[in-house]
Formats: sequence, C-alpha cells, structure tokens
Amino acid sequence: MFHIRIFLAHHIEMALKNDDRCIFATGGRRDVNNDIPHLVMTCFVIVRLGKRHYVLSGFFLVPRAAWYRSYLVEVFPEMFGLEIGQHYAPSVSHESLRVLFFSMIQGGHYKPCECFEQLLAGYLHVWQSLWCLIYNDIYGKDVLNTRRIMLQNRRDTRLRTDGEGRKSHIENLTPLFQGETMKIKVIAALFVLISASTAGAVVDIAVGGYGGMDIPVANDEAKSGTLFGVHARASVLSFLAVGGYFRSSSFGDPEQTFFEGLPDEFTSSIDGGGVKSFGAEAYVGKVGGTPGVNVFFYGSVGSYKWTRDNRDDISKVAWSVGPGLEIVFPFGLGVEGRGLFQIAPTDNSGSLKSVVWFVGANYHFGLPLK
Amino acid sequence: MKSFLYVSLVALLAASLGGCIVNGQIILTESFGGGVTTDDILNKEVVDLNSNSDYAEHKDDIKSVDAISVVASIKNNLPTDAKAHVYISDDPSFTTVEEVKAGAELVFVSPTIPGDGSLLVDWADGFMYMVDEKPVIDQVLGDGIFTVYVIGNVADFDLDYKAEVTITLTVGK
Repeated sequence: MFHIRIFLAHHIEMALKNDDRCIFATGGRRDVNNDIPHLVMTCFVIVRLGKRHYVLSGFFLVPRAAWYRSYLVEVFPEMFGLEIGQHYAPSVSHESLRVLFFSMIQGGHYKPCECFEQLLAGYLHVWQSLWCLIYNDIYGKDVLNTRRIMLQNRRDTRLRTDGEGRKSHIENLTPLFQGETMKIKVIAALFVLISASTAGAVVDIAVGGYGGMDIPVANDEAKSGTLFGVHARASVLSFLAVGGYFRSSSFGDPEQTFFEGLPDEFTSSIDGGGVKSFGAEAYVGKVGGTPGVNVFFYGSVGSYKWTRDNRDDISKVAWSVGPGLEIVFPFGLGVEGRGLFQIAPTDNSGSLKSVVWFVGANYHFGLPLK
Repeated sequence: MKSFLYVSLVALLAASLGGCIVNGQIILTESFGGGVTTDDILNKEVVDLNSNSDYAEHKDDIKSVDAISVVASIKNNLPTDAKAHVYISDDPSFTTVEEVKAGAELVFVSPTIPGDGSLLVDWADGFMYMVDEKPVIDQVLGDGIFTVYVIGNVADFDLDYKAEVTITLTVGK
C-alpha cells in the first residue's frame, strides 16, 4: 500500500508593495521582531512562579495583540507594541517608518512615499532613532548596534515564494548604518528639531470632564465647594503633554455670629461666590495614553476670576501644580483622579490659595486606524 | 551636578510655595458700640482694635485690608424716617452733630429706617452701604484706636442702635 501525502503550505508570508515598491502600512499589529528585546535588562524572576510571574506583574492581565481588529474581545498590544526606546503612534507600521527614514539617509534606496501616514511615520521613526543614539552615548550601551542587527535579522526573515513554491530572500539590501553613525546623528538631530511639533502632535489626544471639590486654604471668606470642568491635552512625547482646561468652582458661604450674648444675636453669611478659571497645562510623567496606570505631575497657568455678590470681582493669574493618576483602558477610555494646589497671587503680595481634587473621565484619540 | 540642580529646584519651589502659604485672609469682628443717640445727646464709642486678639496677633503682619462691612441693628424712635450715618475720627471730643460733620469722616450710611420702625443690616448687605473704606483702612493700618459717632441724617433723630464691623485682612510674613 502506498501512502500519498500532499504537502500544502499553511500560509505564505510576504510583504505587500505598491508600484513604487513601497511597502504598505498596516493597521495595529505586533512587529515582526516583537519578541526580540532591544536590551536585556538584569532582573529577577521568581522561579517558583514560572510563567505566572509575567501574568502577576502585568497590569490588568492585558493579553497580547489582536491580529484581527474584528476580534473585539482582544485588545491592542500592551504599550501599543512598543518597547523601551520606541515612540510611535499605534497605527504606524514598522515598515513604513523604515521606508521613509532610510530613503533620506541612504540616498534614495527607497523611494519616498507620498502617503501621509508614512511621512508621519518617518518623523516618528527619527525620534526613536535619536533616542537610541542618545541612549547609546549616555549609557555606553551598544543600542545602535543591537538595533542594526535586529533590523538585519528581521529583513532576513522576510521571505517570498517564487514560482516553484520555494522560499527565497526578497532582495539583498545593503547593511544599515555602515559608517554612517555620525551622519545619521546629525541628520536625526536636525530632523527632530524641524519635525518635533509635527511628530509629537499625533501621539495621543485626550479630552475629558471632571468634578470634585475646591477647598480654600487660609481664607476665611470662602468655604469648600464643588467644582466641575473640562480639559484636553495632547502628548508631545510619551512623557510630556500640553493642554488646556476650564474649571468652575462654587464656594460655600462663610457664616458669622453677631451681637453675641445680646438679645439681638443673629448669624449672618456672605456669598462665597464662584471661581471660573481657564488656561494652559503641562504634564510630565506617563501621559502617552497607553493602557494601564498612568501617573503624572502637572502644572498650569491661567486666568482666575472670583465673583461674589456685593463685592468687586477679583481677576488674577493663577498657578497650580499637582499629581494625577489615570487608568486608561484599552478601548481608549480613561478614568483619572487628580489633586492640585492652586495659587492666585494678589496685588498686596498675598495670595488666594486652594486645594482642589477631582475625578473624571477622558477619551483618548490616537492616530486613526485603517 | 544633576542632583544639585534637582535639589536646588525643589528648594526654590518649596521656598516659593512656602512664601505663598504663610499668608492668608482672616476676618476680624469688632464692636462699633451701641445705645441711643439723639440730636441732643450723641452716643459715641471709642474703639481699640488692639483689644481684639486677632488684630493684636497679626497687627505687624497686615499686608492689606481687603473688605469692610458694618452690621447694624437700628431702631428709629421717632415717627419720621431717617438714615443712620456712621463717622469715625481720632478725636473723641466731639459732642455735637456739627462738630462730627466737620471733624470726622463719614464711612457708612444705612438704608432708610422707617418712622417708629427698625432695620437690620446684615453682613452681606453691609458691604454695599460703606461709602468710604479708606478712613477705616487707615485706622486699621495705624494705631487701631479711633472713635465712632452715629448720627441721623435729619435734624431731629432718635436712634437706638447696635453695630459691629467686620474687616477682612490679608496677613502673612
């Protein structure tokens, strides 16, 4: 008896290209080299826990990437598939980054793509490259070299199928970064300066509302009251964001007893009034909108107007600083809590102060996914 | 070097915030006296803010006088309508309406008190009826001792009143 077996290829992996040989950018996915770390850090793993260690150490037990977006039960990869030293928008593919970046630094080995996303991706890639270079300089780690090897390895693993069903390398690319280190540094540094605003504005945009308490400090003319507001921010870098806010507070009315001990004793109050303020904010910390727990500090400066019955309005410039914590869920919604200390200096070298806390919700807009 | 910069920055921030934190707004209340005042016999009250513990504690740390309100309960013992006028002066020797008008400074004018009626000016409304805060501010920033005179705005008046003043101060180092 003869057994005839037909071997069928399970799938074929190949890159899709347009007529200009530019590789199409894809939607959110893991990088091909996702499992290759940039750096191998020294850390301790609890041996007895085994693989459970990784589950226990992750926030919310977030699973890995969803290959198809239609699988709504799955979520985006943790940190949007980024590793330390990378700074991309979630929908930007690794290939599209490389295409434009190396088209610039290698004299047109790749043709520049007209696609806006790839152009944008190129900007962002420069950020990452500069980060690697700086990191390399500061810490003496051979990050650049690691990166080069990693990219080369990845290129080697990208195969196509020829007409006879055999796999072969798609092309023989020149090694990256050969003798180009200084040139790349200069180009990257200059390009970052030029493209900083463009590249940063698209990483994450968050819009939200909140409510809380406004507690006057060392001020007998007002009592604690409620507060609500809205704000929006855009992450310039994963650790830096800028935004604007509007807040409205309603202070409680302070009371005082008059003619104490006399038959006419009575208690009277004055209007605590309300404060409306708006201005600009800057955030430092984990503000890139990545799923998980984000802790940050922020400061703001803006207009401060205290309005009360029978009293002149007080309009000043107010400053505030404080910490914040936001839990961002993978579907873009974030729940945050913040505290801040607000100071509005007055003309007499005094100041109006208050402690504010509030909780709210934000929605994070990343780059639109295809 | 970096550590030094960070420490310096934190110290500078702490000093700035500290300077702002150690000032604040306080409200002190002091009696403006009370009793019956008529066009024949003026009632007056010598006020010594130094007897007020809040004032005594912060007298040397006053940065500004932010607001003044007079709270008053006034009864008009005559059938004609009248308003109460509150004057203050460093001179406690005035005994006639003419002397008060000539030598003291008007700071407060009450709403009209109906004949044989009474009126209560509460804390919130008291701000509105202050016609001149500066004489009071000068006294607060000065020695804190002055005399309060209450007269009517008509020739014949007979007012039975009680009054207190609230002063909002910004104090701090």
